[in-house]
Amino acid sequence: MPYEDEDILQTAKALLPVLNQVVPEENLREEVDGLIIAAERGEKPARALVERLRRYTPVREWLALALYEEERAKGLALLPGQVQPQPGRPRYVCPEEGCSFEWYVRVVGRPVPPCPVHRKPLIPAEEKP
Amino acid sequence: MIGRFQETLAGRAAERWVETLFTPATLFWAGGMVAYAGRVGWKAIQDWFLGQPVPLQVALLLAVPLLIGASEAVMRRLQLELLRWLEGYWPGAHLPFLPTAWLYRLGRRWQRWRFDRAERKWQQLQGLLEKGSLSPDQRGRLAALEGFLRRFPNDPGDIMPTALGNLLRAAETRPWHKYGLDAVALWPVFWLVLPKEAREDIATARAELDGGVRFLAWSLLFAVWGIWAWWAPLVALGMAWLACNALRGAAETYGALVEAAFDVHRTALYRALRWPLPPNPAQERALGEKLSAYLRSGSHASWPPFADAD
Repeated sequence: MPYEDEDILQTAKALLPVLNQVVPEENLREEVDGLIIAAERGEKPARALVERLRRYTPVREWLALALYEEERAKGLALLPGQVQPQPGRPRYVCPEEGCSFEWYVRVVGRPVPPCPVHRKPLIPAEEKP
Repeated sequence: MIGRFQETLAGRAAERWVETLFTPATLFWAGGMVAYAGRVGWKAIQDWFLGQPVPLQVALLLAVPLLIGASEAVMRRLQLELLRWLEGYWPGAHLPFLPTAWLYRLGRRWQRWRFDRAERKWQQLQGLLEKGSLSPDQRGRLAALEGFLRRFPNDPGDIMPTALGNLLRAAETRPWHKYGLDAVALWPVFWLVLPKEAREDIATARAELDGGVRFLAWSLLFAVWGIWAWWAPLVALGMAWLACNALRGAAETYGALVEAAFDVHRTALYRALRWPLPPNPAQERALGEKLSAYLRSGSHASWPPFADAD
């Protein structure tokens, strides 16, 4: 199953207040409550909750739908904003004296181009005399 | 309370049914039916249907979901090939004198022109930023250009002929440029060492991407109903536009997650293979390249010693 123990616990906790109304069985609420506490303490697997609750048709259907929703809620949503401009990028310059052409490294892997005027390979700015 | 519980149950069940029924395949076949009915009239279809023997009527009604399911299954089979095609991996693209080769070159030239134009402007504004003379407007423009250029591979030599191809190629090649890790070649191994949550998120994003591909394919196929209805190609175009937008969003999310997975979990790859961890970014690139070669081609070299070897 793609959902987590935490999802099962949250779903069972959400169901707990109405459990007696959905399944009129004595002591079921107390039993489920105990299973939730045991699962939270790591004494029993959260899966035990699903096994116990799936015996009742309406609860089984609700669990399937609720956990399906949990599963759907996962996933990345990119932030809608823009990245911040980043100063302090490595600067390359033309080695030719008097040439003012400069080129900033935006990302690694982008080959440094030659000077468009003198056709010479650019050098790191700190190496230019 | 109990009323709200039942409401929630009914609402969610309805949502699931809507999702199951209204797949792009259903819309495609339903659109075909409407187009055909527009041509011959609903009455003629109804009369023909009611004129058939009852067993055939039942069989026809049962055939509808089967047709939808089968066509969707075929589309799922083809989706990887379709995605590669949308990226710009076209057959014969590197052979001369083929239409695909010509299209490939034209597409790449267009994408390269867009990249170069944006990068020239970026260089100009970055220069102003470094000198501290960037206006607020220019700052916004620089940020927009950063975002735009991130949709292209770091090395313009890797530029693909389509925007989708560039988005995905950028994500696939960045782990190589940053860490020397060949994402495409290492992916099956990397997948096995990724934590469950990361795998789930990536799988969800990939399902969105594949869904977008299928939506686009069905949208374009919708144009065939133009044989019966003049409006079908227009609907096809509108749906294709929507699908392209959905596809771009899905590709951005998927690409961001693939890149982030390497950023965060790449050390798990080293640990799983018992390779020593790179001590700094300068050495990481070289070691990552060696690791990529090790997994791609194997190695009998005595270096590096395994991390737990005494």
